[in-house]
Amino acid sequence: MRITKLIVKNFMAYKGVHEIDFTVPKHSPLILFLGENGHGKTTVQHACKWCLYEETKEKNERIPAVSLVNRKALAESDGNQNLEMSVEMEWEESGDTYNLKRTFEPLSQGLPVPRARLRINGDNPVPVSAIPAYVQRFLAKEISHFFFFDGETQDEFDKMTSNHNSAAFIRSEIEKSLSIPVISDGINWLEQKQSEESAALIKANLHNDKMRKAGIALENARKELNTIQQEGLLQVARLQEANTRIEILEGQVSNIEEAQQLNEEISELKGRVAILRDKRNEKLSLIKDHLGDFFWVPLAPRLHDIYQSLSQDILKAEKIVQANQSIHARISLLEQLRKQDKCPLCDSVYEITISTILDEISKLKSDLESNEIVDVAKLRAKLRDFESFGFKYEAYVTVRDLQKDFDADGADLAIATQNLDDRQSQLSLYGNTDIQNVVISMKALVAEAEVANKNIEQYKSDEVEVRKRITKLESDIGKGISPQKRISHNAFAYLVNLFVEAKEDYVTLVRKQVETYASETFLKIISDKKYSGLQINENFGVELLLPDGSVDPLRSTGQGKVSTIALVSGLIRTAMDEGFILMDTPFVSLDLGHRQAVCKWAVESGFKVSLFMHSGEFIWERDHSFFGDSVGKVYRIRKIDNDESTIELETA
Amino acid sequence: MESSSPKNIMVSDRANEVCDVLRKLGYFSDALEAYRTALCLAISLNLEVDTTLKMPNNKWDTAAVFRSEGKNIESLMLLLGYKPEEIVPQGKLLAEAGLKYLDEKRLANVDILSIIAGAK
Repeated sequence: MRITKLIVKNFMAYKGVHEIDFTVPKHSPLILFLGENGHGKTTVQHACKWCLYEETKEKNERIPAVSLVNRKALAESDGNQNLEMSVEMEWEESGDTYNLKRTFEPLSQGLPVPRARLRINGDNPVPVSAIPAYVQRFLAKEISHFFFFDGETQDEFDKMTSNHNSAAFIRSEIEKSLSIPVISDGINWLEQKQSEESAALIKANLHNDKMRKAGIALENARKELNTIQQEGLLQVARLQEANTRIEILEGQVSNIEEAQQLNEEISELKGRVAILRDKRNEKLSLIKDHLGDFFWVPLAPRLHDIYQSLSQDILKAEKIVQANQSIHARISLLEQLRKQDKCPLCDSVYEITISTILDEISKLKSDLESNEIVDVAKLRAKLRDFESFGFKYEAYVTVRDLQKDFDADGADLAIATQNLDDRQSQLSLYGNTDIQNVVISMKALVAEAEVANKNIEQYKSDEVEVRKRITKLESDIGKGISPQKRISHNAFAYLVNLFVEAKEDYVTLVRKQVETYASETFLKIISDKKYSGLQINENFGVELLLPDGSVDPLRSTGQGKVSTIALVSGLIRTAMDEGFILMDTPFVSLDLGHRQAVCKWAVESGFKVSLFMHSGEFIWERDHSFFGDSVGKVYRIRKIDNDESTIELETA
Repeated sequence: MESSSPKNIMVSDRANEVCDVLRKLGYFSDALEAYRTALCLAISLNLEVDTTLKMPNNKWDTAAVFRSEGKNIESLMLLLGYKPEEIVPQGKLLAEAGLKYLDEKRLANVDILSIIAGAK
């Protein structure tokens, strides 16, 4: 399936007619739609979905047709009954061109309902009742999410592909798009024919006692098979019911995991707040104890400066005292010299004259006079005064550090309290839903779904057993008839077995094929090289595979997104000759490395990929090199006002 | 050290009340501690004093406030350059100013511990 054209008229943000041409050269298959949030990117996807399925949803709520009509067009129509909203989509498949147009006239008389028209190769329209089957054949509604890929609803995909029970309901639709039901139809037809043939043979040979007994046993076995199949269907219904109720519960709490996470965070924050309060109280108590003893704390820095200054003055004064003492000693020596003519120590005769000695004494006395006379004792007494009011600078440092810690704890406490308030406010947004009860109900439903799954498996196994018995009985009946008729009769049994086995093989083969393709894509995109690929389970759930064959239980949002893209890629490559994918905000929750890897994948995948991006994730002027020359077209989506947007081809 | 100050320390109604509140809040084990700390805070923050303040409460003995052993404010003020004769009269006004300041901050929900310990 290859979309070639989309024409929207008065649809949501698009007033009047807007045409998007999806045809691009083969070597540049990418189409980019660039526009800010709220400008109309997602509207293009809404248009595709509404055209194909007559419904589109927002936040899991179906949007009524009347709400899809452009408000400006509606306001300006002045009640004109011919006002039309329409979406026309054209696609090609196996050489044929399909044109589907869905129209809605909101102001028409009576109850306005959408109308659809499908033309194949421009011929007369196909019957309206056949349109859903055609659409379903090309793109099953249940798996359309994969092709109209919305990065903003990644959580939904993540759940679908990681939860076996949730994924079960899409399995049958995936299988449909992979042609598996054709084989099931063949089996049913053959069984019906075989049953009719057996019934005819038994009726014709009622005189044969052995055959009559085998016939009764066969009839019982068929009844048993019928019962098993009915029970199996009941279990499938039970499973679907459980899954539906799980979805409803999920809707009630909108995101139960987030609420649980919030509860856990609140509990953790409460603990943190209590610890910080205790720590603060402890420090507060210590600070108060110190303050009681050290009333001088407010003046401590100034007092410390005075103390330091005094200590230095004392040192300086002591040095002066020492210097003066030394001068006095020299003067005393020189005075003695002046009285003698030779040295009192060595008896040698002085060569210096008396006048020189007197000069020296005079100079020393002058030095002595110039030295400031400081009362060291007074200074020391002042220093001792500090003791009179118990000054200890270290004590001040302790109080100051305690105060700093106290303030830091206070800041942490304020942040923790703010976070706690925020979380509690967020939790209150979940309304009156009792999360605990929802969790309990959810667990019960998951358990019920698991039981249903087990029962389905059991009924499948019982079905195989009964089928074997039927085959044996059919064979017994065959023994009682002529060789020619026996060949004809046994041929049905042979074909049924052949088809049943073929179906099992085919399903496994297809799943393996999807797994191979998905793994190739996954390994190309994922930056964490510890993985060896993906494992697709029988419900098409995705698990991350490690080299030793085990699966990685951890799965981040980014990994979930990458694995979903890989699954989609695997499905498209397996199911379609020419795949397409419309990805809305594809880079949400992906880092730069993964963004580039997704771009590379989009270029190399061979699909026609249309990406809808806002400036927060992609800026053409800055990031166009991500795609090389593979961009076929760039459309720019702009908002004119709240009720009108335009979509224009910017680069072709 | 002798001074010419009166024997009793008189305090204003507000200072009397603030000392009591701070004690009750657990910041100080007795009112005198609050008084001394407030005095130091006022010097530290260079608070303006109110010379017209009425101080009708005869609260403590001068020696107990200014010359208590190990908590001698007189020595402290002399070190800071106050003249002996102005220690008691000026000290009383400073303590009043400090208590008023603490009370205002407390009423404004400001953490007074950080004011005391963080004062420069």
